[in-house]
Amino acid sequence: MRYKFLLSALLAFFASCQKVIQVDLNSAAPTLVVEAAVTDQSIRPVVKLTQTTDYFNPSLPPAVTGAIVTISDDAGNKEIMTEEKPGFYYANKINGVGGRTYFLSVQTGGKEYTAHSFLNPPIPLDSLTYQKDDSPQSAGGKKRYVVLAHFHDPVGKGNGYRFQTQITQAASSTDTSNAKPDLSYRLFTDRLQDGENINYQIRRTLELNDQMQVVMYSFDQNVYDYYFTLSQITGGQQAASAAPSNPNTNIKGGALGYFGALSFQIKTITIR
Amino acid sequence: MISSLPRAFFLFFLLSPAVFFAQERFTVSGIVKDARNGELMIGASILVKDQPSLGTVSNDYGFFSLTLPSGRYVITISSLGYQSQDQSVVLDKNRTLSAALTEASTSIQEVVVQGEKANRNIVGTETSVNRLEVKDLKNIPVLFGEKDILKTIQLLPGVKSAGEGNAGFYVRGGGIDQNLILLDEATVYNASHLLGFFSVFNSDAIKEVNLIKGGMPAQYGGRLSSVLDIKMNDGNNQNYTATGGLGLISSRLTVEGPIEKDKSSFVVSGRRTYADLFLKLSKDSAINKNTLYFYDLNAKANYTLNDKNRFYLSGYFGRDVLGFGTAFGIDWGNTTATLRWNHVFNNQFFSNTSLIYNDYKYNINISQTGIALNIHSAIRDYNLKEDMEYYLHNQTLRFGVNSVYHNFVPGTVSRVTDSITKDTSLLRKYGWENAVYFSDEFSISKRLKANIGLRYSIFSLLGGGEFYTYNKDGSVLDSAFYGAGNIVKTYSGFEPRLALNYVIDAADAVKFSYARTRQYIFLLSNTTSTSPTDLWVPVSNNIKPQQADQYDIGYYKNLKDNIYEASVEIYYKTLDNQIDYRNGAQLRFNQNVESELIYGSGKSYGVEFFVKKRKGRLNGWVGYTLSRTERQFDEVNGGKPFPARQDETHDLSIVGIYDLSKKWNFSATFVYNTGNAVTFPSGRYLIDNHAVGYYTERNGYRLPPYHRLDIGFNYTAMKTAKRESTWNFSVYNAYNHKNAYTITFRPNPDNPIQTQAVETSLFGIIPSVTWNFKF
Repeated sequence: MRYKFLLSALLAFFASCQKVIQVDLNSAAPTLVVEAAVTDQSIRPVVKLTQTTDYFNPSLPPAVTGAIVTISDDAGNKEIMTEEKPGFYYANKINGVGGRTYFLSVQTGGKEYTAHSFLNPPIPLDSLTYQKDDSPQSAGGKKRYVVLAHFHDPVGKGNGYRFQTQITQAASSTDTSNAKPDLSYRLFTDRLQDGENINYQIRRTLELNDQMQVVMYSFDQNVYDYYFTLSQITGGQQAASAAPSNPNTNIKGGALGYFGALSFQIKTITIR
Repeated sequence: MISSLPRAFFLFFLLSPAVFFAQERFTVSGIVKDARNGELMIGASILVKDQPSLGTVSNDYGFFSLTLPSGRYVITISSLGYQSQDQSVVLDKNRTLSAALTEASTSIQEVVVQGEKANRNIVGTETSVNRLEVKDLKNIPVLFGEKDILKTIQLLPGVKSAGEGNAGFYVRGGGIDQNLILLDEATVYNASHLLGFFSVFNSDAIKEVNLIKGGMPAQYGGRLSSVLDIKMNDGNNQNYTATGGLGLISSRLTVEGPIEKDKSSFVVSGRRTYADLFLKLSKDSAINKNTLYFYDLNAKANYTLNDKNRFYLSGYFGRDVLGFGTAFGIDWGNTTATLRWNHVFNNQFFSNTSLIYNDYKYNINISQTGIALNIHSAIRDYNLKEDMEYYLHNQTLRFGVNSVYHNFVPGTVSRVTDSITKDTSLLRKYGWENAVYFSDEFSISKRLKANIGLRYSIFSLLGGGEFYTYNKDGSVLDSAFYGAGNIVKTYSGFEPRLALNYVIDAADAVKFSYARTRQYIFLLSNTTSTSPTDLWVPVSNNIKPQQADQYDIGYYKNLKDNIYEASVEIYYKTLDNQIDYRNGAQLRFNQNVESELIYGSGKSYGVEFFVKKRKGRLNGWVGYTLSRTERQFDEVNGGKPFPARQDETHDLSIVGIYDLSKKWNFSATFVYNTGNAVTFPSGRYLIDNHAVGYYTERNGYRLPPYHRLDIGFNYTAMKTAKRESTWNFSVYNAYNHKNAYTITFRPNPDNPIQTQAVETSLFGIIPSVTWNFKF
């Protein structure tokens, strides 16, 4: 990660040049994509089924309708989900409870796809703080700030975290990149810091009076692996993997996407 | 193959001509030097006048030995670019002969007196070898005007660059870590500076470069694909001289001279880049606090005790330093030291003993509010090497042993959080690598020469600590604890080597070679560019040694009295136990890094054409390679073979140097090659309402073809016997072609459900100027 940052700085130094180009790509046969989540908050579990398209197809991917989608947990609950709009399947009885494992089954096109995911007991996001940014990316004479998320990782390896941010800019703010949606996968694993107090630095720079909302998700190792391998093929990772490939999914049966049991917390901070 | 080979080998040895002494024979032996500076001359021809089939070449230390029936002979000693010398010898007893050759004047008006037999490429048994003299390098234009060995060898057929401006290279489809890079016999684990834009070899300190692409002789081993054998200058033992250059982004200085004239000399050569001084000019505090430079130092001394004993001490030290303010810093580099003792037992029996130390390490410092981190990693070798050469009539025996103790420090992290220091270390590993070899180079008939050899290598992984064995899916199957110094795992194997040369006439030869090579340590890297933090690992319970078999046949022809040399070579190579990575593999600081690896096989084949003009106002070469390189892993691409990243169908290099006048010379290089095999998406889907690429095959697409023209002018402002002042002007990428470095795919930043392809190119046209001096 740091190295990529280094390399991009070096490339910038050597006056590299980037442009959007046209490329002829093959057309792969359409494949099922599952995007499924169960959370520990009062949000109904949802499963979204779509298909792959040609890479440069500009429209929304086609929905997969009429599938039989079943969700269950290790406490003996089981429910067939309802397709409320094309491709979106909702559960109405089951809701996420920390400490349980959830099972998903999708039957469509004569095939069955299955997955399971462990929902972490809630891990509190203790606080958000900010500090002056002293990193070299913070160019220009203006004062910039970065936000730190403080939490305690429970003992036992295999916890993954994801931080999703949204910035509400102050009237005086000038950084146009902060107005765009956050496409980055800000991930953390306890692989090297198991059971410690974590001060996670969120790599977005804020200006005075900007407000940032932070959603901290925590999840099991399989979901972390999915997000991590997904992050390697998305979002301008220039010096990334020499051979990009599809993310490591926890879905068995040959579908793309993932089934995530997600525990999450939200906090907001304003730079004063 | 293996079991029958030693017997055949023994038989050859018995039948070889040395066994039958028909007539009394005597030996003439000696040393060949450069008259001007006393540098020992490698590969000079020592031939009997009027009997060109009788002869030898000087070895790496300038020593030669030629055994002939008693009689009177005129011996011609010659080397390309030097005036040849005839010496009369009466062989009624063993004689010694020393020769000091004078450089042929490079002035184009004079007739250049050349060695009579400049056809070493025809008569020698070596195949697939490219030899470069550093003098040849100085006129070739390169990036930033910094002449560079690794950039220049990438212009040879069969050698492919690892990327724009990158010092990494692939030889005949082999991996970057399958090249044995030696600097005065010491292994250089990371040959690049500035993340690959420069090589660590300062050409002012280098005497000769040999690249062995196939038919690796038995004295070399440890890597599958090639040997890049780089020899440093010994130092002028006649006069004190200083040479150097001032360039736009780097400068260098070399000082050399006698310690005791004719007996001992030294050379010290240093180089530093100052790219970061330009950063300091920036008003932006985010840029001017950054550091970015490298420096390196080569030093060598030698001492001639007497005719029979000579000692050499040489070393290299280089560091790269990169820093972003105080928040982040990394430095890395190699250190090597070689102590050598040449001993002549008698005029037929030469030995060299080397004690070698080398290490490569990096340090990373991160300091941010609340946390300070220091990461350290290293690989360190202690090496003892004994090589013997025994010269008989028309036959040379070589044998030796090599013992290397490897010390791997995969990573140590010290963290200071809330004033508490916590250290985490990955398990250190130790390896003991040993090899013995024997080879016999002899004439089977007047036209047919052979070099048969056998190498036996053995590698032991040593404890202590907990060693894991993993399943095929990467989960832990078993673990065991080994005490310090206990053997965890040992691998060994025979490596037969064979080279045959059928000399049709003085200008034509057909050569064949076969070599099996084995490799016990590997570089793990899953990014598109080499990185200073790439990890070297040894064989283990999980990682098996790699083995390659290469067959090579070539036709060699010299034209117009050896002014032109031409060759066509066909090679076929298979590789087993090749390494690839699981999806999303974490290679840095992972105790279970071996669980991230998958194993497969590879093959590579191709044909290489090469024509070189060696003399005259216009000289240079044209190389063309047509080749294919595949890899196969059960876990990748559905188990089907796929083109390796370095697979390159066409590769063309043209190098031309033209002397316009006494003062000006012009040079140009042109390269064209098929783009890298790359993986592009063949579909799209949405996750979190962002477009994601759908990948269906590995390396199924190609980057656009790469082509580039570089030009250079050298202006000799002043040249006398002692002093020289030249200016080099060079233009990299003269017609400013934006070659694709990468093509990446991403969601459209303005509409994340849509997608776009982005091409990144690195260098446009880059002019540079360097002033070189000598006094």
